[in-house]
Amino acid sequence: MARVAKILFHLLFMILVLSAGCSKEDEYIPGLEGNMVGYVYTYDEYGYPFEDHSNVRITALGHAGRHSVKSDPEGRFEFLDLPAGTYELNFEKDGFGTMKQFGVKHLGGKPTVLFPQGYTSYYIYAFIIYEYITTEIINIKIENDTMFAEFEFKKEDADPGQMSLRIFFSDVPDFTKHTAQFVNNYILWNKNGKFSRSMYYTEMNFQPGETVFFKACIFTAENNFYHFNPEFPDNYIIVETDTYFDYQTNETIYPNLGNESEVFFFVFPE
Amino acid sequence: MIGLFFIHSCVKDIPEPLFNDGMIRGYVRCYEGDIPYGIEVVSKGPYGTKTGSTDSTGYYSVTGLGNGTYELVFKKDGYGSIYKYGIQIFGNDTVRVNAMLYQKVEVIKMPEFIEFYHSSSFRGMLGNEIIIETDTRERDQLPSLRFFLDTENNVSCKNYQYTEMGYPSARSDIDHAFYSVGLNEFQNKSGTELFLKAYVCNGSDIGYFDNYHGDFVYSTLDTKNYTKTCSYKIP
Repeated sequence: MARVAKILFHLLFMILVLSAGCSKEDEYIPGLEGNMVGYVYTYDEYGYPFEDHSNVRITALGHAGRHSVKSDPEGRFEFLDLPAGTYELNFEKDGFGTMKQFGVKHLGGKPTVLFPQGYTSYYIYAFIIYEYITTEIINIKIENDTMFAEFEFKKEDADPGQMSLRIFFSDVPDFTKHTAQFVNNYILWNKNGKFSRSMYYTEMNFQPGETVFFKACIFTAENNFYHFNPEFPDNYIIVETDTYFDYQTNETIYPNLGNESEVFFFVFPE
Repeated sequence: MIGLFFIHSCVKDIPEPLFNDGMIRGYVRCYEGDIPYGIEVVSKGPYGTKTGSTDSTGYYSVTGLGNGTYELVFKKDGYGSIYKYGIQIFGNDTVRVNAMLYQKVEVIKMPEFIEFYHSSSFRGMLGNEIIIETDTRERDQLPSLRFFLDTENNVSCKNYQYTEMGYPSARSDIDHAFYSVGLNEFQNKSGTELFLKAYVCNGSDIGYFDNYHGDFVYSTLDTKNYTKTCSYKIP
């Protein structure tokens, strides 16, 4: 009799343990679970890719909490058994600007592959994170429809083929990035250590003869997206996402935007 | 009994789909121009597997799919299979997925490589190419080969730095039929020793990026028919 009671007691105990262990999963029913796969590539501040894209921490924020994984050397990452839902993804690595992606739909079942609608498999899609900017802007001149810039490179082996500037223009000298009247991105090409580009004024709404004040921040734009991986034939294109739109501040975020330069000025041409 | 109860208790319930009238449809083409009839299209999703088949114009549809994420496989005997991942069906959606199939190559005899040259050694040859002379005189008897190159000798179709198609050719100043392999996209320096391994592959198969596994895939690559690993020093 005592033996039967002992077996019944053990059986009751197991039922209690099992029902406690499985009840949490019921929270997600009728949702599915599934893996989520994507790619993140790391670039230096001059826009050249690192060979090793590992150890980028990717965090998925959603209704089921925070889930984190790290990328492998090829930049691939995979969340396992992620509950279905809509997620915000953050891509972080020490020394790099943080990239974000909002509204990522994950339905569950077979793996979600982070790949934009409308692209075929002839494209390779990746999120990009860039190193923080260490270069400083020494001077920017706009003269005779040409922009010239001088930089101080902090890294000994710096050899950028191009430099990208996000420039903020205003008709008053004390302005902020948010009160600037015109904002645009400019790529300056390196010719024997001199950085310059042509200027076009058609989109600027300033008056001829007016003094225009401006300040700039360096950011990284792709320098070598095509063919950087010779494993892939030359007709394959890497589609990248390296900026995101912040709906709270209503602006496009450049995750590794450098420090603001001092204010420079030029006279708006006739 | 207890074990059965344990298994039953902890198997994850697959929920009933909220929608169950989703559809994946599209068309399949055969690169060589064959009639794309009877190509099997297998969808794998959260509620199991469903199969469709192309009609004589290449159109197919897989119907009655529940909401969730799916994978597709397109397959037919004699052709390389194509895989598609991450196909999302939110509600009673119709999602279009197309594919191109390439014929696999039949091999009569695998060639042996007997000599390597650089294209600059020959009059009229342009570019930066390796010329690989084979033991076969008739170029028609040579299969098209995809070459995989690396600076390490453990090169294979899974482990390589560069890949390029090699097409059989012949000319009067080379005794045997040969392959020419372009190196234009490969960052290489004079004196570098390259290791090559070639696999039978349809010469028109441009491959595709398998966005789930992160690999570049050539659907007609024959992993059972390959050459010995050879080395070549860039002049």
